[in-house]
Parts: sequence; C-alpha cells; structure tokens
Amino acid sequence: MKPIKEDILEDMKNTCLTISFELKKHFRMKRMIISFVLAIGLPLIFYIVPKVWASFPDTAEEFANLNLSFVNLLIIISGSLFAGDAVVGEFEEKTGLLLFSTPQRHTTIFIGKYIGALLPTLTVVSIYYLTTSLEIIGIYGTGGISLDFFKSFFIALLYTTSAVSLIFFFSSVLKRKITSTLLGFFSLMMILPIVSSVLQFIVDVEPWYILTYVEGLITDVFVGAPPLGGGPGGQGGQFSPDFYSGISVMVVYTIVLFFLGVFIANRRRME
Amino acid sequence: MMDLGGKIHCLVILVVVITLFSPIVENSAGVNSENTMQQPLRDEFDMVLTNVTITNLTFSENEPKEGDNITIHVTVRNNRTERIENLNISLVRNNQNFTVRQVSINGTTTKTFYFYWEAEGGNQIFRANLSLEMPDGRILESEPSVKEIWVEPEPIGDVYSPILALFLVFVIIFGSAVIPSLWSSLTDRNSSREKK
Repeated sequence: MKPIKEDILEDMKNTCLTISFELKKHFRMKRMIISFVLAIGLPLIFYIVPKVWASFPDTAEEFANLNLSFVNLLIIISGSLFAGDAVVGEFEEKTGLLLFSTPQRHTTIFIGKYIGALLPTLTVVSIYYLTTSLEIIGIYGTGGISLDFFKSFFIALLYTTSAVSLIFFFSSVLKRKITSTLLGFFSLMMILPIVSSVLQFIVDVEPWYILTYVEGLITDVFVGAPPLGGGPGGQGGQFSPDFYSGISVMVVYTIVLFFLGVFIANRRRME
Repeated sequence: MMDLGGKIHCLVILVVVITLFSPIVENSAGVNSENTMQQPLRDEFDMVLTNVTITNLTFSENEPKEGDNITIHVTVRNNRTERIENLNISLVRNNQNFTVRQVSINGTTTKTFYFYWEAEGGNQIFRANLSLEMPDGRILESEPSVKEIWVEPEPIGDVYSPILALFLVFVIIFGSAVIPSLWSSLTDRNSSREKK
C-alpha cells in the first residue's frame, strides 16, 4: 500500500499530464488559434466600424457595455470547441481503449480533461477583455477602465466555468461528439434563452435559476450605460438578475455539473 | 371742378375702398381694445396661460446619486395684477405623472414651490406646467418647462464576490483531483483493519 502523500502527488501529476495532453491536442487541432483569432477579432469590430463609419459612444462604460454584450458568444463557441468532445471523443473514437487501460485513475483523466477545456476558454475570455481594455484606453484613456470593468471580467470568467461544466456534462452523457457539441452550443445559445424569455414574458416569473439569464450580469454591472438587451442570448425584459444570487447560481451550475459529468464519465464503459 | 360723372366715379371708388378695408380696421380695433382694456381675458380666448409662467425649474443637487433626497424648485411668476387661486402645478417625470399641487399666487409676484423626490438612477426628464380651470370648465395650460438630470445609479454588487466565487470554484475543481486518492487510502485502511 502506497503512503497517502505519494498517492496524492501521483494523482496530481497524472491530472497535470492529462491537462498538458489536452492543451497540446487543442493546439494541434488549431482550436486554440481559431479561438484566439476570434478573441482579438470580435472586439476589434467594435473599434474599427465606429472609427471608419460612425463615432464612438460618449462614455467608456457605454463602449464596454456594447462590446462585452457579445463576449458570451465567444464563451459559448470556445466552450463548445474545447469541452464538446472532451469525454465523448474517447468513447466514440475508441481512443479510450488505450487511455483507460493505463494505471492512471479514470477520475484524474476526466478532471484533467475538464481543466484542459476550462483553461483555454478562460484564456480566450481574458484575451477578449484585454483587447477591449486596450481599445478603451486608446479611446477614452486609462480613466475609462473602471471597477465595473473588472467586475464584469470576473463574472465572465465565472460564467465560463459554468458554461464549460454544462458542455462537459453533455459530453459525459451523450454518445456522439457532434451531438454533444451542438447540444452544448444550442442550449446556451438558444434553448435556455428561449426558456428564460418564455418564463419572463409569458409566465411572468423571474428565471433566476437559468444560467443564460444570470449571464446578463456581465453587462448589467455597467450601471452608467443604458441596457441594450441584445447580443446572442441576451434579452431585454422586465426582470434583471440579482448580483449575488446570480453568482451563486453560476457557482452551483459549475460545481454540480462538473461532479455529475465526472461521475457519469467514470461509470461509462467502452462498448 | 369735377363733373357729376367724375364725382360719382370717385364716390364709387371710396365706397369700394371702405367696404374692402372695413373688416381689417374693425379687427385691429378689436385687438387694440382687448390689449388695453381686457388684458387678463386674453388667455381665455387663446386657451393658453400667458400671464402666469414657470420662470425656473431647478434641483437641489446637480449631480445626485440614486437614493438621494432631492428637492425640486418650481418658480412661478404671476404677471397679472389680481391673485390667482386654484392654480395647478403638475410635474411629469419621464412621461409619467409625478405629482400635482394646487396653489395660489398673489398678483405681480414670483413664488417658488418645493417638491420632494427620492432620486432614481438613470436619465430623468422632468416637465412642469401650470393649469387653471376656468369657471366654464375650460382648462388653460401654460407652456411646459423641461429639465433633464442624470442620476448616478447605485453600483451593482462588488468586485470581491466574483473573485471569491472563482477562487472557491478553482479550489473545488483542483481539489477534486485528490479526492480519489484520499478515498482509496481511507477504504484501504478500513479493509486492512477488517482483515486484522
């Protein structure tokens, strides 16, 4: 029997090994490059178009609000790219036959896969915010970066973790890569926003427990800017998410779906 | 000397000129008499309060924050010589009725009226106007006075909560990597104890 300390260290090492393998895989499959290009290109549209054809908004908050109302699109795209096939790919392509026969614990493999999908998605979101902040500094000066901008950034990171957890969960449950990726993408892009809108406008109930509803906090924190109610999955409505309950909902989604995903993936057997 | 035909011709022209210009002369005479003799009644004909106006609409704070108690000052000038009773001052905020107050104001005086408001965040447009109900039921209204004010909204949440939440998430996710080893070591110990 191995001492517990050695056992823990080995698990940590194995998890790190899976993470580095996943990152290399994403890099080799050009997912990283596509996402990074999107993370720089999307916010640049909000800089170039007004510069050439129109004028910039009056305040930095309005600019940030407009620009960041599309960050969830990037989170959904990159989350689907990185986490969509994380687990299901091993079962569909039968690569699990090689991977699962190693002495490494299956749990550490799946945790490593989750972190391997989460890290690049977080990096992509950070690049988006970095590009936006550089644009704000270029237009409005350093004073344009307010505390609300950092608040929005951390909420976006938190939303990223919950979005990746949801897609990872689908990847653990479903049998095909394409189904898992598309279901993850469309649930965050369409299904949950539709449910949220129906609850808001037809049932007249605040959908505080729906992930895409609380995602509105990313731009809601810019109190000085008028609400846009646009963007993918964004909806203007009579309700607006509460800050603290919104954060709690994101944390719960992240943790519950992550553990469920790992648990279900651990139970799955190669067919 | 003018002959009879010429006289008749001149008379006809005079009659025509008098006939043509008589309404204009009558009208101008009427206005003049109204202006000089019946000044306060002019409003009744025009349906507009012209002799009573809002001269100023101001706020106690120029850069208020959400939740601040703001006093709205409405200054009214009565240019008439007689006192006006039952004059309504109505305030409209963002196209929704805010308040209506019935006041009285002495002749040829200026008076400021105060309204209290707990500021709500965002851009606020206040419109104040005066109205007076005439004995015959008609309502005379003044030109509105409009003022726009930006109220700084209260910040939503704080920056520490999402940081703390992220920290919690990372600790749980990274920490979960060691759960299997902890679990197996615990179960191994239990099974070895049972064997002994």
